Amino acid sequence: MEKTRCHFSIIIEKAWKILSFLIIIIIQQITEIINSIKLNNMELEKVVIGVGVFILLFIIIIIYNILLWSKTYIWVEDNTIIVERNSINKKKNTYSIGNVSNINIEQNLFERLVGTNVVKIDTNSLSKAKSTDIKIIFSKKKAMEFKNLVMSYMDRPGESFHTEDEKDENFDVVCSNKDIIMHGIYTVPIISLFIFLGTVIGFVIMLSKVSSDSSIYDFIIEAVGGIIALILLIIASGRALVKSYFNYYGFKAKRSRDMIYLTYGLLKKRIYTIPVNKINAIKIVQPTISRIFRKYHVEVINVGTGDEKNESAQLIISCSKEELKHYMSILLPEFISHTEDQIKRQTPFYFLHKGIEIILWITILIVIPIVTLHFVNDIPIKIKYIVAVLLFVLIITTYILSYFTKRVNVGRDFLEVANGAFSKTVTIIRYDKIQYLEIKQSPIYKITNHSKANIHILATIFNQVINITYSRDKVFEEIKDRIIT
Amino acid sequence: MNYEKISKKAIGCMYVAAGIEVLISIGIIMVFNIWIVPNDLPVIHYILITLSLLLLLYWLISPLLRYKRYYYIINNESIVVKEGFIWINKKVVPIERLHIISINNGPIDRIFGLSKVVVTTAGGDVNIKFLENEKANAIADTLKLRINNIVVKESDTQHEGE
Repeated sequence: MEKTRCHFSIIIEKAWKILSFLIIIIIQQITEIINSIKLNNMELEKVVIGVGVFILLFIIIIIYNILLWSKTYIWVEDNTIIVERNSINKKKNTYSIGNVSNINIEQNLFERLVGTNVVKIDTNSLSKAKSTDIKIIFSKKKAMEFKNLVMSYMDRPGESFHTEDEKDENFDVVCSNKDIIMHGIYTVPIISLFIFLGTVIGFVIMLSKVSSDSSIYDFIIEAVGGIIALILLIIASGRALVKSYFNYYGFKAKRSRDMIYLTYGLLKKRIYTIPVNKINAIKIVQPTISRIFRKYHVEVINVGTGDEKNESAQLIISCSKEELKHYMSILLPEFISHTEDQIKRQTPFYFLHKGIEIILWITILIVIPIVTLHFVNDIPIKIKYIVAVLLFVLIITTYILSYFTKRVNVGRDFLEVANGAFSKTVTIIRYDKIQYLEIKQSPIYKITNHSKANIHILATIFNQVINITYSRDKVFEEIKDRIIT
Repeated sequence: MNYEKISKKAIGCMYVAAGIEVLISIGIIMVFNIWIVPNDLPVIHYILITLSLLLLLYWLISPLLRYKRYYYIINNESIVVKEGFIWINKKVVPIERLHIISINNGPIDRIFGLSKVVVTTAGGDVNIKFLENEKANAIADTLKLRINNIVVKESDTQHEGE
């Protein structure tokens, strides 16, 4: 492949980002600037100079980005991708294609208008796990050619995945609008729902207290605060649902030999290509509402998916258990667990070990506030005790639910770890992907031959450490033997 | 399995490191006790003084216990490092996951002629601390050799596959 540059629109995109940052700062300070002009009785001449400096700054930014663009080359050579920059700081980065863990093609609204695609490539490396390794902008056609070239080096000759191929029949999993809306509802954080319900109840109580003799005008005056709070909460909840809908709009997935292809997004369209052997683990997630409705969604743990803002590592969106099994058998049969029903519950020692923790939380959240508030006479005693009882129930419920949720299973092919209390996340990890095991034991655990542990895997920062609940020592010996052999 | 104990010099090193931590903590507590906490709250003063005494006790006991509990094992399959004071922490690293081996020594380590071997995997670092310099070099060399052997073995397997 010949040395090539990014599409020139990268100059506008980068300059626009800096310019929008400057504009935001100016807008934030606009009143101060106007006041300063008024106070100091600044002449028009000085204002013109200020605007001139701003324009000059913008021109410098544009020139710098043109220089950067003209001196940055990308090419593929001998199974490697090379990115060379000969600007003030010269650098040449060489990435082995064999280590590519993810190829992602993105397109935002501006890129759709200009006809370009962003190609993001990540490699399977810890030091690069926090951000995307290679981010280049090509014309749509060139982006697909580049991707196909990289894939041909990944032993995928002839494999192509063009936007023209995006017909539903070419995919194994196609989600309807209803599926995507329901996914948004199932994954709404329970706390937002409680706050929303609390506000609605509060609003209804407030309405019931409004005197029937009051005029509409008096009613609006009395209820204005509640109405505003309610509208804001509806907008906030609606925003989360709309955001989820825009993110996962047109969600489609397919498996082709040892590659997984995912495509979704309305305003920002994404096409992911993930080699199966670079998937280090999967997470079967049930946020609280999903758990109530027995729905599951699956995320992949892979360097490159989910390492940037608004990026998701979703493989399957909310679906029933039967659908989950069906989709997994098509998309990722390597990770199907056959032992789910055999996973044993935690030992009752859990409550002995957690007893100290429970007492600590009760002391911090209930006893100390009650003793402190004892001296505050403004709060009615009834309310103090209602809050204390509610907190006590919440703490105890959390620990009981966590007893029924957390568990570990040392399977033949995978380690399965379930975590959570109200929500549930089952992480399925292949033993050869575990980098190291960290076992922790307190004197109390030692008496009962129990420990807890963390396993460390190659993943983005949020998924790097997976906690394993209190288990008998022999469980960790078994895990140790599995990861060593 | 043969557990390897660390050098006895580690006790001195631990006392100095813990001593610095404890001195700084007691200093902060005393600043609070003398200048910030009002004199009409004697209970808080007693709590802070007790805390300072507990820190002193920690300084006296913790290095001895930490030394007693610290051990490591290096064999053909894995590296195991066990350490801790109240909570015991045991790290198990399969040799095949090693990426980088390095030797570090800070100012306190240098006073006692000690080093630590840092073993880097794709999931993070594991340290084997309080090793005598010669021992640290020997361990690093052995591990480097093992990494090389693994790389050569993997590349041979790949060539055979082709």
